[in-house]
Amino acid sequence: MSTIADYYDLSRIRPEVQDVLARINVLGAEKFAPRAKAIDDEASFPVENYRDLAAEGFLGLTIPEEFGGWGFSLGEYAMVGAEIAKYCGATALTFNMHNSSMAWSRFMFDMPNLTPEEKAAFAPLRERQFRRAIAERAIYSQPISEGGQNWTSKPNQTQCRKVDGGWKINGFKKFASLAGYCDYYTIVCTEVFEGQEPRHEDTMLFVVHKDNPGLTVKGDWDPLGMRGTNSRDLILKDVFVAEEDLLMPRGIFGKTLPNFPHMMATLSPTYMGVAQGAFDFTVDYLKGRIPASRRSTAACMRPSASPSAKCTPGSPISAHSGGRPSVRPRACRRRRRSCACMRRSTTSWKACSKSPPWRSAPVAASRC
Amino acid sequence: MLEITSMAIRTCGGQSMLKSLPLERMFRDSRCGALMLPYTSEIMEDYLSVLSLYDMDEIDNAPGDEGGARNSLWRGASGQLRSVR
Repeated sequence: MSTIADYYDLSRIRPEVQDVLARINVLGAEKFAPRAKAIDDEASFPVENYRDLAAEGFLGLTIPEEFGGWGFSLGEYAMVGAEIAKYCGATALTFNMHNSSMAWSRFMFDMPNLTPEEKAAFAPLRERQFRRAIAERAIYSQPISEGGQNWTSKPNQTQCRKVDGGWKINGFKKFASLAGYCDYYTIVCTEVFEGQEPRHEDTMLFVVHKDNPGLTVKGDWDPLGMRGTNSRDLILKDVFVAEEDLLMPRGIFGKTLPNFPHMMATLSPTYMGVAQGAFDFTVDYLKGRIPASRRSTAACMRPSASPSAKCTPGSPISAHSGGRPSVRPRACRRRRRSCACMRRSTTSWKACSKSPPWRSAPVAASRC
Repeated sequence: MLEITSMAIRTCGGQSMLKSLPLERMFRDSRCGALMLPYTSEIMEDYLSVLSLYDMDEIDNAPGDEGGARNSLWRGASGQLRSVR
């Protein structure tokens, strides 16, 4: 498995961030990776992974330090997301929903184009949610999709109307990741007024508790991939939210995306991490580090356990590993000097782009 | 990313199709990223292509899919939010 030194310049990463990344790699290898298969098989939510992440305090990574969080920058948080995804993509992707919710309140508050009045109204709202997230170790999700519509192009179809003491929300959210497992949903919707067409600039952002009357999670969840995200349908029927559970004051949401379009880029680290995980697996596999117990029966039975055994070209079993049980790389290298790709310690993208084993030594590989 | 996981499966061979190994899960997981709104790969291609050909203020009259880059919150002062800012 790769380490952060394989692909990051560590002199540019704060020591406390490196510590978190290292801790994630320990948790990932010991906990997340072994749990990943069952989560994927059953399309269940990685509840235990969240327990572990919460126990480390990582739910507060993007919350400012003054409210008890870690105050990680967007880039620092992105690195954490990518490390988690090396072991379990669904955990990283849903973890992002929570952290991204926190990061929105954190960074949007610092946008240069907010008026002093808007900022004054925003400050207590976000503080309330930050303190709540820390005190309750609460998980926030941010279902936005409504199915078949790009919500950045048209007003959200989920709507709210002002009532005494707050708002009432009606609508529907598709692919509501963490549905049924988070503590709070941040709900994006359009405020509607009598006698007026819904407008994009009336987009509002609320925090809704999971037990709020009128909120239901419906539908099946049996998708192709990212099965552990549990992104079912969320239905909101006359859901009341109090004024203090507005997350951003009126008029601010529309200013966020033009000024902070890269906020949505927090989804990308997950996929970087999945790619790194695939790369790491490939290197381990080719080096014979994947234990025989995890291979197919046929592969385990192959009589190729002796170091001198020749691989059969065209065999579906890796030519490099020959179905042998886990071999320590050093020993592996000593015994198989003829295989050029074995001698490379290719665990990083950097090294990969220079000399990926499948490009640099195809002949040696096929002959090993 | 899907290319990387595809290449990984191709490199490791048939055994990596097995559910006992994590690669096929990573392959399936990797497919999901490019489908996710608001940044599906198609919408991003639309952004890149339309903004290569037109200035921001011209794209309202540019031909093509109105659900993509042309009519988006991202445009801010240049788009439909012009009136409120």
